[in-house]
Amino acid sequence: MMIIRPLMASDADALLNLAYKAGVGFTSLPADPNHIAGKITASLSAFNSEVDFTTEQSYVFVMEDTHTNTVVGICGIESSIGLSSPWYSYRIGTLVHSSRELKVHNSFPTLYLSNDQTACAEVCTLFLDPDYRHSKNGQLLSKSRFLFLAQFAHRFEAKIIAEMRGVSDENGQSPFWDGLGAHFFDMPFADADHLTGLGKKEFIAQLMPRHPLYINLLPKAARDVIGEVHGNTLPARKMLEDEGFRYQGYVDIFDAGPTLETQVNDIRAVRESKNYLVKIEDHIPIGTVPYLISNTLLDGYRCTMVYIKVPESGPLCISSELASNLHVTALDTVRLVPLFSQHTSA
Amino acid sequence: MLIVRPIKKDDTKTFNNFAAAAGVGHTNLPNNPVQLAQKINHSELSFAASVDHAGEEGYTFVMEDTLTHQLVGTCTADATVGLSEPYYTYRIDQVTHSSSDLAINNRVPALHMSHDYTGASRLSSFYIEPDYRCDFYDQLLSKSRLLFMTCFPERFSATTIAEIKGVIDENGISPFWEGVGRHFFTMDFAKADLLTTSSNKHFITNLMPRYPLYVPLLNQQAQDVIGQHHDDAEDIVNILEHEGIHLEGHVDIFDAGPILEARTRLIRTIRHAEQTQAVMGDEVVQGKRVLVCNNSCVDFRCILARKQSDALVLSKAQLEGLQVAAGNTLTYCHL
Repeated sequence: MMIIRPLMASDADALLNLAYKAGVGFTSLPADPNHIAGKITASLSAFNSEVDFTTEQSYVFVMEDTHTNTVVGICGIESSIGLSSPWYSYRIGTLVHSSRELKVHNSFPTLYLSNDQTACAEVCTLFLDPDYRHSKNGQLLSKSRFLFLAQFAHRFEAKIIAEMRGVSDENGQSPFWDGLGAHFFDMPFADADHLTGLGKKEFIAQLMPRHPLYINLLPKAARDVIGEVHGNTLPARKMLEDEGFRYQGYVDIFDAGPTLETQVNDIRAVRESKNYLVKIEDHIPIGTVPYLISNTLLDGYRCTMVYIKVPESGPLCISSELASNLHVTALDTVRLVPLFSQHTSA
Repeated sequence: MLIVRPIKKDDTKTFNNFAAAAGVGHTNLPNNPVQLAQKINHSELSFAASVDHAGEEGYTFVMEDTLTHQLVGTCTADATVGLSEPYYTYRIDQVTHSSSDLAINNRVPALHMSHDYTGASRLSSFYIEPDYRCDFYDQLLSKSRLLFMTCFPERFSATTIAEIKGVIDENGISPFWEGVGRHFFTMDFAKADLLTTSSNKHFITNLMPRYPLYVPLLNQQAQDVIGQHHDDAEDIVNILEHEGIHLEGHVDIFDAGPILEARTRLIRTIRHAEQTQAVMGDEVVQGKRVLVCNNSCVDFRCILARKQSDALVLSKAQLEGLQVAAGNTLTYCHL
């Protein structure tokens, strides 16, 4: 069984292995023991802290294969961003240039450097071991965060964003970077991306153009990728959009990948999730619909996926194995939501 | 002999021909008879006006060959620009982006829409017939304005600029326009060029980009012509630069042609010009070339001559050309 649980101090080595597997492309998990130690400390502190909106709390979860006791995936939620160092994105605004006497009326999409997403929550740091990319494990890993958000909404800002990886080619070249950022500092995209992963985005932002940029003056290759995701990220984008996230015209300042946003309470899995009392039985009929199921504990959070039959009312019957993995017993509460929206297919 | 004098209504026909020959990109010499007639009329009023400070006067000169009685060139000195309607240029500023943490210090040029030259005097509308682009005639024509400014400093501003035609190909295509202006105006360069002279310039405010443009983000063809002058303007640029009128980082908003700038009183001809009494004698054929003008405003005349001794000796024909008699005060400057 695949279980999602909070990151623990003992996960340091496992996380380092995972970071090596993720490689250089995955900037939010550099294979650096110090960085990982810092991440663990921050996450432990988040789960143990009182609700506090003046600082950034970084909740990190891992996916564990209970058969082998290995950590095979990681995901995270930030309670709030942009509080300790500025959060930058480009907002695509519209400028209208019009002259009635000449009968000219032009509207121009324009990039504005913005800090608009300051004090939003963020879903981030998603990585699943390639060997485990099957059996809806990716959906489980990503959406497990939504049940946590549903249960602990008061610990997060009401608005939440997700940054999507932008377009780059197999050599790591980003057309947007080459058409814009590269002019402002002589640095390949990969280096800038690396600095971002190390939390040095603000340094780079200091070097970015401060004036608004007319998109139609950018090279076509750069224009074409604004708000577009990397091919590998298309499924992740679709998944988030199915859950209610929307592209609202904010893009990454380096690769112009879209930032998706929504209100936490509008996320499908948050809105549709319900709490049930637990009843433990030996023989549980297997359902046809996959559900996300979690306990309601904070630092003891556990979440997994199960094919189960859900009663119209009354307690939810689960197996003792599942109860054990979720750290619940009879009459405890669990939170449940279909893994997929009823209106969308897997 | 070639004489530079104020333009008159009788000159209309040739003046129209000049405008047609000057072509697209010569914004202040529009190929439009109505506007040219206005320009002549405005010039006549300006020369006749009693002026104690620079206003909206525009002084247009023509160069006449006394042998053929043909006009062979024209130029203008405007008292000011930007007073009645906005005068736009792009100022090229270096924006420094630096980060000590990353050991990066980049200077990125950006084009800023500016009104910096509001109130400056302007040299413009220079055109000379191809047959006369020799024998210092282009210098006579261009610098006659400067000698006029020397005689009547109260009519001009402390700063003088000169608009130079930018790079435009034989089909009237401006690379800068194609890379920048077209996006905002959605019209051809020629039409925009015409509009700047035929309508009030407020449409520019409405249509031009309101934010600075980073030069490295423009397409390469547009970048390459910023501050570059048209091949036709090579001689006039040399003349003006020799006068100390330099590019100070401003370019035309349509074709990115250079806009040269100087402190008016520091322009070489104005600084070195001297007054002297005319002496009549045989025409001096050896000696240094000088530009000589009478000190009249409405009957301004300027010619080329030579000066060998301390005295400025001019022939009877030259004095007649200048419409002065021996003993009258003249202003001259070595070329």
